[in-house]
Amino acid sequence: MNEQELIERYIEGNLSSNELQDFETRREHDPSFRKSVEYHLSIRKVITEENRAEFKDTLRKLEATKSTAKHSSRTWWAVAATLLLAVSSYFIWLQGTPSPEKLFAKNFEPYRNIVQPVVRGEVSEDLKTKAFVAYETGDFSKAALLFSELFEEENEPYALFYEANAQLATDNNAKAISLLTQYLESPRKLTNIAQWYLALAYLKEGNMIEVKERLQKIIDTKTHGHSEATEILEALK
Amino acid sequence: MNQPYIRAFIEEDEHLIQKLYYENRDLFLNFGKRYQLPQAELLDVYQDAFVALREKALQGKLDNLKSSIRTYLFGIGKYIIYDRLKQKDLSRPLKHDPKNDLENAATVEFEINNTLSEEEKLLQKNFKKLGEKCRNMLTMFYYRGLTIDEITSLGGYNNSNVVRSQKSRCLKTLKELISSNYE
Repeated sequence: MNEQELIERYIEGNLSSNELQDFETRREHDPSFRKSVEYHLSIRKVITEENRAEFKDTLRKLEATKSTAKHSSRTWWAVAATLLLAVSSYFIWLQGTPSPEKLFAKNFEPYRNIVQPVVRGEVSEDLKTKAFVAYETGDFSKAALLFSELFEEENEPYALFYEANAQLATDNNAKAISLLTQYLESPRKLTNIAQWYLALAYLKEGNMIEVKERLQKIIDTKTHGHSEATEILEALK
Repeated sequence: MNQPYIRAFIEEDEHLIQKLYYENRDLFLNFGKRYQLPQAELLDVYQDAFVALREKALQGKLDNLKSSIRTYLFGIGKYIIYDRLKQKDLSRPLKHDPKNDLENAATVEFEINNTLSEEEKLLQKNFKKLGEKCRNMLTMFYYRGLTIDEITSLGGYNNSNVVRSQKSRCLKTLKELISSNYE
């Protein structure tokens, strides 16, 4: 094999380990051979840098053409004003004469996730995480579906609780009531919390008998939500 | 699972390449925050990692990849980040989250070349002067690491001798261009 072929096979990566050893020995001891080898390695290095620089340039251009939404200040103000109006109308409504609906709205907030820590930006395939991500990002319809699936597949009681929360958040009171009732069939980690949410669900439904009974019990046992319960009962008098 | 992306790089499918780029961009930038590099630099790292990913795809190094492209990409990114931190003398131990898959992505070693010698700069200048056919030929051989036989079949040449002589002529032209610089 002449020098040319040898170097060619070297660059191709086609030398056996013995051949490679001989190659390196020759490279070490033969200056002109070494020079040839390095010339070819330089060519490789140069072409590599060329290619990388070219592609990186393409990527930079990609970033530059990425549409940057130009916020016209007029649009921004219009959006802010609308939001402000919506929020203030809501609070004005809330201040008016108490109705079960208003009392519910005032007191309901989906219970925080204490089961599965969710790291922002992390992508996970498992059902549990997906459900909680949907829940935390406010996509309650999706969350409800996922928790329901989760319960079917893994029989985890907390799935009932969180699905109930999600259902309450999307106005499905009856479903929430049935889920919470099911959850409360056995003593659970979140029993007291669930009792509170069940009371709220009945409040939304307008089932005053259930509401008063349950809230009174919460007040008497001084469990989760008892101070709010006192306020609600007062308001309902 | 990774085949379509590998093909995309080889066939220069801009659309798919862009899709891959954007799919992972924000995730990487978010992931990289923990290393406390400025956002602009993180973007630069991401781009370098993406360039490296393409290179590996072109060199056939991803053909037997077991993990996802994303994990691999992040592995390269981590390697580059550590390299930069080392250069700035900023390597510090970080809190390790065992559940974070991306954090656990094994770093992928990658040859960060960078500086060219004077001779190499000259080579670079003259390589650019070569015709497209020669640049392609030499890129296939030296960059993508294809063998003469592979180039023969990919390029639809009659036989490997045709490829060899063409490559030889291109190298000769390159040498001539370089020496003509000294005149």
